[in-house]
Amino acid sequence: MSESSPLDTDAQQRELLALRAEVERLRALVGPSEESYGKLRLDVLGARDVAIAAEAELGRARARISALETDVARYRRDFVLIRRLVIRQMARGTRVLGLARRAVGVAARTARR
Amino acid sequence: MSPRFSIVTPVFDPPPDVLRQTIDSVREQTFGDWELLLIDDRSTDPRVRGVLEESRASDPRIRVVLRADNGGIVSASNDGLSAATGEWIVLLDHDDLLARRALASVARAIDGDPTIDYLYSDEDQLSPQGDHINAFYKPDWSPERLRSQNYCCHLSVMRTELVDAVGGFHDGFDGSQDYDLILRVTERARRIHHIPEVLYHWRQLPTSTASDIGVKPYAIEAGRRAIQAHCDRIGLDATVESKEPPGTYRVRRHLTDPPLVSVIIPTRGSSGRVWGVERCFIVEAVRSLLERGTYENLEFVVVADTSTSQPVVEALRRVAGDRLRLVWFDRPFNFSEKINLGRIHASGELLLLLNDDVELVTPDAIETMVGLALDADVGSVGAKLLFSDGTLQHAGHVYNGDPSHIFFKGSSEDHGPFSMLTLERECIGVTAAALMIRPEVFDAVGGFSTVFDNNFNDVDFALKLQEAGYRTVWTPFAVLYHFESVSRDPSVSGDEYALMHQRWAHRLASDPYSNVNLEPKRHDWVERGGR
Repeated sequence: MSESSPLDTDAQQRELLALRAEVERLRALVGPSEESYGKLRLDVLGARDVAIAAEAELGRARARISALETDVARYRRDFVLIRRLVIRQMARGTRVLGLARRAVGVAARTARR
Repeated sequence: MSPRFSIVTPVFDPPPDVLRQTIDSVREQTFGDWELLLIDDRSTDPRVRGVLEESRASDPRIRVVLRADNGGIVSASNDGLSAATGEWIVLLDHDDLLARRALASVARAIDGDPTIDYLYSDEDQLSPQGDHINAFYKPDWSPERLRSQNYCCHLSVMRTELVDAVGGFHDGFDGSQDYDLILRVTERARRIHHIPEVLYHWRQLPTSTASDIGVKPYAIEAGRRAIQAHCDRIGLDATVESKEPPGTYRVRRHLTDPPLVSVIIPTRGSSGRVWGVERCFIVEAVRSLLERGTYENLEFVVVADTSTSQPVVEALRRVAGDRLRLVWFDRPFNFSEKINLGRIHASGELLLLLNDDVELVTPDAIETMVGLALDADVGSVGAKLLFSDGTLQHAGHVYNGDPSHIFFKGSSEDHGPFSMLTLERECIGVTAAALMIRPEVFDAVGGFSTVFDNNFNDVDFALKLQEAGYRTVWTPFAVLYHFESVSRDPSVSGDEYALMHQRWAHRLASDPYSNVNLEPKRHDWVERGGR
């Protein structure tokens, strides 16, 4: 258990009075809006919740864009693949057509002879 | 002379044309040294018997076993194992197809390494229209993932001797009997090998789990019990839970005596706006762990630049109290140095490296990470990190050309390909923004390399752990926000990039948890095309 000296008590009394006076001065400055700070804090927290929700919504849109970019990459890959297959088939078709034409030509020449 | 492969196929009332295709897929194998064991579990459709007899008559390598009664898939499969004479058991369902080169690829892998006891391959699904869809390009051996999902599944090939040693299929796991067997075989296998080729085509039928595992709810529960039995066998004190999507599981480890965790946080006491409100990052990071988190045995080793302001230090002292160890750092910024310095002052049995710009989301995140980090062969454990907009910042690293975060900026609500974003699984590395490790492992690899002062220090660290033989595990059940790059310069220097490639070029192109069938330098699992 500790005991304060009378000197300390006087000093504390003086500080207490000064602080009370300062509180009164500040109250006078703030006037009837004294309780607004608490309300302001609540407003900030509310605004933060709204910001979180809005940002989450934005995040969902961004994630959707990411997923679409992945889909585009897949479609591009498929497009390249299909184009390659078509070109290969066309080349084969052209070759067959050429052979057929040549065969028809040979047959026609033979028939003429 | 006994054949190399015994293909075991239990048969019960498949559509006859489908069964014929299954048998044909075996007969068309490019590798010929096999026997096919068709075990009819008293099919009620007489046409099935006809297909079996016709197949037996057409090829001497096909053997038919007729069961006297309908005993279910486990009994039928065990009859197949008893009748098998081959050195290797190949599991094939009565409605699925083997790729033509399946056995040849398996034989080649076996010839290359005589210590292999179990092999699995990539697989795809056969739609009712006959299209090959949903190719599953799997990771190499990933035991944590196997505890979360039967990812090995098809094609599974096991050494017969080992299958006999573990007692074949066990009763009570119908629907997940193969999952149970794979778990028991892999517990004792000397070497497990993944063949990154689609060697198995799983047919989607209305009654098959290929189309929806939900059609067999008993299989989900049997899977859960199989993992629980596995945990009990290997001495893992845990409870297994079924999760969404169906067919995925969580192994929740029990912590009887929670160890002291030293949370090492490098900081310079910076502030920034998050969700429209100014915050001092380090103070809010610590506050979230203490006020939202449920793990109590924590100390905070805050490695602070000497320029950190006094109000920040005072706020930190108020929040953390006597759990705070403040370590001053008076050198030019070097993330690795700060982490290493923090480790020196840490007294915990575990270290949690944490960036100061994080906020805890799941209250039991630390418990989850501790459970995993205490496994003897686990090097580091990473968490699921979200940006402030809820998109995915970190779901593990992938090093397939360049290091990147898996599904970076993707949806944190998506399951990912084959549920990979919902599962605890191995990955090649995890970010140091939230990384748990045992101090002796940290020391064994020499801590963080200080030559990487800003970037790639975690990549380098992960690869050092991998070279030392440790597993790195990522968990989706420890979630934190990471307001990344709000508090630091996100630019990458050319020197760091060059140094990383110089040091790790051989590892950066071969991530065992990715797959050669996926596009390199992508983080979103796009299949490679045009080969």
